[in-house]
Amino acid sequence: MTPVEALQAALAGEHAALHVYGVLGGRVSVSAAPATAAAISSAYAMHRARRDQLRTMVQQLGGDPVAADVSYELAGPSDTTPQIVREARGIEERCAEVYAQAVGATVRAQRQWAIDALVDAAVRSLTFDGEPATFPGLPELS
Amino acid sequence: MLTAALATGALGACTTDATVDPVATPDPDTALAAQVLMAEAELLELLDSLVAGRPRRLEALAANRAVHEAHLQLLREAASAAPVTSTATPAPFTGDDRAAYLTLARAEDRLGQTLRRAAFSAQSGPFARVLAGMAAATAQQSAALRTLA
Repeated sequence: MTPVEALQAALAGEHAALHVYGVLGGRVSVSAAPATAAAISSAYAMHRARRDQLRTMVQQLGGDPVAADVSYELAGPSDTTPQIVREARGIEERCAEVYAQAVGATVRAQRQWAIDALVDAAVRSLTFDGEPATFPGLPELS
Repeated sequence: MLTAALATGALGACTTDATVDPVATPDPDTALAAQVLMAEAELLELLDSLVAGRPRRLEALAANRAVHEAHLQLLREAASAAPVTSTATPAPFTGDDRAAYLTLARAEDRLGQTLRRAAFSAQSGPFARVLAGMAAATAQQSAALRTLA
């Protein structure tokens, strides 16, 4: 995998994350689940910033940033707070995998960015009731 | 050699440069692996001192130990290194549980910095990926320990 391909994969992951967090943000109850609502709002802002950074990074490497799909399917139902939390956790775990791929495929500033993103996704997954993993982002070692 | 071990042993999904002659070319990541091995071993020594004579704390920190033992084992296999065994009995930690968890959380933060630097510096992409995953694990452990405290 080339650096551009790895960053494009991460960008595609960010597009999906933003879509799903947008849906979850519209479904979570701010009054009944304020902590979850705040965590989703914070995650949305972080992923939007990462998407913008990735677009710039891809362009700097001479690539044409991949566009978002028209729509994305959620992994499961997201009507209740536990379902919303599970969906959010799944997003972070999937993002961790593409960030880890990017670590292995890039060098210097792009690799540093990917390391930071991987660590952030791993910790953020705990916010959504995730359990600490032995190798976050590396499913073949889990 | 480290890169070869990562590719053929514990990390089957990784790739490496098959043209590298392991005899003629020193693996640039071997020293990095040794540094990380030492840092992981130091954390486990601290953990030993925190749980010495404290069965409840030993149980509470069992998952933390399992994570670091898995990291250590993978690094040893990758670097073909002998197990690091300490014959010294750890001095027991005299603070309460909260102090113990925060002490370990701070140690996780230091180890995490070492792992991040190593991931950034690694010549091998697959090795960098594994080191970054370990850094992410230490960040999770730190967060979990601060919650526990």
